[in-house]
Amino acid sequence: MADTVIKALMLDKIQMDGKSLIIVQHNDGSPFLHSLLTQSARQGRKICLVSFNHSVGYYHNVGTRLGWNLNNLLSKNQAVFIGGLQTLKDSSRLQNCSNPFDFLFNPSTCPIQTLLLSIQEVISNWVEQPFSLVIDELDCLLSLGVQPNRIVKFFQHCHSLVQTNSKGSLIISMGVTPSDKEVIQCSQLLAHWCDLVITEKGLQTGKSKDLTGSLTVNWNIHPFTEQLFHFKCYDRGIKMFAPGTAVL
Amino acid sequence: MILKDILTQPPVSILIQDSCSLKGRPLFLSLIRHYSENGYSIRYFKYDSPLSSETTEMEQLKISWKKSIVDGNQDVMSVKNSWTSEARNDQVLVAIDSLSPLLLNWTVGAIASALRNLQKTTTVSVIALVHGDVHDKHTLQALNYIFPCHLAVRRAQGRNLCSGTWRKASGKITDSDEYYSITEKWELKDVKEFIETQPAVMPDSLPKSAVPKSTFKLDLNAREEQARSQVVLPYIKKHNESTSEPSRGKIIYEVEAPDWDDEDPDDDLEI
Repeated sequence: MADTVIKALMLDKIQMDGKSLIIVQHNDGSPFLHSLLTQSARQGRKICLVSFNHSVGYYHNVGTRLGWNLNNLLSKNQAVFIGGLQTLKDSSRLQNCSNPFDFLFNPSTCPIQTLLLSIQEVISNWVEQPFSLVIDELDCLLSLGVQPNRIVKFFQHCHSLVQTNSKGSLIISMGVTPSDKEVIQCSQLLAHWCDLVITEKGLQTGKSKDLTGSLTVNWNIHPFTEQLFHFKCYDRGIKMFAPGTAVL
Repeated sequence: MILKDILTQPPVSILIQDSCSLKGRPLFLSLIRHYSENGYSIRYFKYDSPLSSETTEMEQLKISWKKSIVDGNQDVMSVKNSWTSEARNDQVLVAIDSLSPLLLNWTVGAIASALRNLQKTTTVSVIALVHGDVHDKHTLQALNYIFPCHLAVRRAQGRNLCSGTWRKASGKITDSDEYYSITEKWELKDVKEFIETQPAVMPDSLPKSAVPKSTFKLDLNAREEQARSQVVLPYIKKHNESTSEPSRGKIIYEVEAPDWDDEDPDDDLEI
């Protein structure tokens, strides 16, 4: 599954070091995020995974299907998971000022600063080592009350952290709803700032048993290409093909 | 043509509006390179998060840039002061890449008044980039009032197209659509006027028959069509016979033969 996606994105030929990538999800682009996580794990890159609405068990279970073990990487300090669900569940941590998700309970003039400092602290331990900073569903911050300008500023700080380390890569996913103007505004602006923009959408004509949706791959740097693919999701893989070609 | 006029005249304040389909940054950089080579000092303010290739591009252009992340807690006047602190010379051009992060933090009115203040208090020109697909039409229209020259870039027929509007100091407004391309050395070239052509309606593309396609034979061959054209419909035949002359609405009265009765009608009366 991951190999097919990586080849379609040309990431087998183009190194992601120092680059940023955004997945704009109109439907469900999580298979592509997991493909990128799988590639990072296989390449031996350190992974800093930030999630707002999934537990570490979810990523471990999906990763197991794709051939890599997140818990194993966590135990070896090859990966760090910063998750918000546990924070919401464990109320005793509300008073902890170093909690990355303190913005949920303590509104301040600079929300998500603690989250940014937590990420910075993790990345500072990986100097001169290749790493991937993966932020899943960044649009959740809007639902949690963070203003769009703060989210954009957070992205810029993460982006500069990655670019400072020439071997880092930034992978962000954002879910987009057509009626949500703030999300669309954020995603459009971040799409201008990312080297690779992957837009996942459902089929315009409705649902099909042969296709799950369409994927647009847009490179803002060399090779400056824009490609359209159709894809079909399975339990353990994704098949990708050019539009119009039948699925055998 | 506006692009050609821009290159031949002294710098004016220009707003370049782009979208994800076509980036306006190459045109933005080519104009900056052009003014830089003509002796103008460029003060480049980078508010966008740079792509991985932009550092190399700026080194090629030999332009120093100041990267900054916009802080919403900051006052917009402090941003404006940072522009004017660099602009003490008449031969200075302020390049803003881009206005979009500023518009997220402050209202378009505050940004517009800061730009207007800059243009009134100094003689510098401003070249700014804005991402048109991030902001609404009201915001973009408000910015158009501040900048006398507005360039919107998009893709048309596989080429880069620039739709420009220029409000000159004399009050004359010119607008034009031009193709353009940017070389690897950030030179603007191949500027040609865009002429929109209407797609010609080819007669062969029109359907010859309104008969729907079917596995059944629904159309007629030439002999059958000729036979059908010779068929005279019954009601038309009778109508043609009855109306040998055109009717003019006259009354035709046929005198009937008199029907006289010889019997006395009063014969049955016993008078």
